Amino acid sequence: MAAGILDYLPQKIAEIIGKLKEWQREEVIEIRMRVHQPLQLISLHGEIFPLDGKNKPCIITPLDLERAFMILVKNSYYALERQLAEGFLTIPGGHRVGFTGQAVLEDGNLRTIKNINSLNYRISRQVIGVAGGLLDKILDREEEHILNTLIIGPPLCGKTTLLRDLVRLISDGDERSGLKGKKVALVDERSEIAGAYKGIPQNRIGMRTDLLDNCPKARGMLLLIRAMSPEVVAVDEIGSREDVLAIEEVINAGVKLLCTIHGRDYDSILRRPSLKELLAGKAFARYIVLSNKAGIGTVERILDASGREVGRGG
Amino acid sequence: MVKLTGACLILISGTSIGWIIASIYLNRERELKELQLAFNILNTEMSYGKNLLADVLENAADALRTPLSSIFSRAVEELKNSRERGFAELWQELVEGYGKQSFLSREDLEILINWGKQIGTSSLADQVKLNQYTLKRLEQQEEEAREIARQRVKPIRYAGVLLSLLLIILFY
Repeated sequence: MAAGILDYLPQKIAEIIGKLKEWQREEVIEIRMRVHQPLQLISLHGEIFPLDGKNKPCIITPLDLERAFMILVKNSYYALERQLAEGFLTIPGGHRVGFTGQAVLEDGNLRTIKNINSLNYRISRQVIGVAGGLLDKILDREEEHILNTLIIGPPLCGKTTLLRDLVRLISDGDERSGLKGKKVALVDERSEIAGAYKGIPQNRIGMRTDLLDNCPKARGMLLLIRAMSPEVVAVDEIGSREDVLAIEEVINAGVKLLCTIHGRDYDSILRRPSLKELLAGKAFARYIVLSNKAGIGTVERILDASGREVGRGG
Repeated sequence: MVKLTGACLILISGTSIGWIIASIYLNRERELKELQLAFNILNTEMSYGKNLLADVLENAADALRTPLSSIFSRAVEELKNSRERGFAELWQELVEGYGKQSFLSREDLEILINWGKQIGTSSLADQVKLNQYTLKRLEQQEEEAREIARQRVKPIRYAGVLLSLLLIILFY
C-alpha cells in the first residue's frame, strides 16, 4: 500500500489493514468506510472485508468516521472550506479522499458537507515508465514537439497516473523517442498529480516542470502561460466551460496541451455540450482512450483529431 | 549584634513573603495579557493565512515566553503524534496540566478549555467569532485580575513588612 496512507486512518482501522498480507495491501486501490457498515477494501482483484480482532467484519461507527475526518482535515476545517465544498480532499502523496454526508447549501450552491457518513480513500500510485510506449504516438516529429493530447477514461483507469508520467517524460526528455526536454507548466488543482505537500512535489514530475498547486484549472492555465512561458501545459480532469475557454487561450498562445477527462470513450465526450465546439475545432490532435479491461491503465485506442484510430496500446 | 541580625532576617523574610504572595496577582494579570497576544496571533494566522491548526499553534508558541509557550508547542507535538484523541481532549489535558503550575484561575482555564472544544471544527467565519469571543473573555478576566491586584498587592506587601515588624517587637 502506498506509504503514508495509514497515517490518515484512525488507529483501529490502520491496525486492521496493517494485519493483511503484504500482497493484499499492495493491491488495494480504495478503502471505503460507511457508517454502520463493514470496512470495505477494493483491490485489483475484487473486494475484501477485513476482520477485526474477534474475527468479525469491522463495523464502522460514527466515531470512527468523525475521527477519520478530523485526521484528514488536520483539525483545521476552517482552512479547507473550499476543498470540502468539492466533496473530496487530497492528502500527501496525491491520494484523494471523497466523502458524503449532509449537504449544506448557500444560495443554491453547495457550501460544505457535514455529518459525514461515508469516506472513500482512493490510493494514487506513481508508476514510473508507464507512459514510455505512448510518447512516440503523441509526437509531432516535424515540429519536434508533442501534439495536443486528451486522455479519456472512466474513474479508476489510470488517467492521472499516465498524465503524471507523460509530464515527467516530456519535462526530462526521452532518448528513446528522441524528444528533448520541454518546459512544462502543471496545474494541479487537487494536488493529485504532483502529490505536493506544502507546495513541494512528492512525485516525480520532471526537471523542467513548474507546478501550480491547489489552483483552479482555468485560472491556473492562464496564469502559467503569462508567468512561466511554458511549452506544454498539463491539467487533470477538464470539463467545465471555464476550462474550455482557458484551453482555447492556451492553444492560441501556441502552447501545447496535455489533459485528461472523465469519459467512457471518444463518442461519449463528443456529446458533452461544453466540449462540442472545442472538439469540432480539432483542438486535440490525439486522444488516448483508457479502460481497465486488462487491468488499470489499459490503452484501448489512440485516435487522431478526427477520431480515426492511429494506434492501440500494448 | 545577634539580635540585630535576627531582626533583619525576620524583616527581610516577612517582606519577601509579602512580595511573593502579591506577585501571584500580578503574574495572573501578566499571563492573561500574554494569552491575549497568543489568541491575536492565532486569529490572524487562521483568518489571513488560513494555516493549519498545528502551524498556527507553532507560530503562537514561538511568539510566547515559557512556560506559556509550552502549552502551544506541546499541543503541536500531540497533534502530530496522536490519531486516537481529538484536539479538544488533548488540549484540555494540557491546559489542566499547565493550570497546576500557573497563576491562572479556574475560570481563566475554563475559557481556554472551551476554546479547544470548538476550534478546528467549523467554518472560518465561525472560528474567527470564536477567537474574538475568547479574546473578549480574556480581556475581561485581565481587567478583573488588574482590579484584584490593585486592591490586594499593596496591602499584602505592607502586611508582610508590618507583620515582620510585629514579630520583631514581640521577640525583643
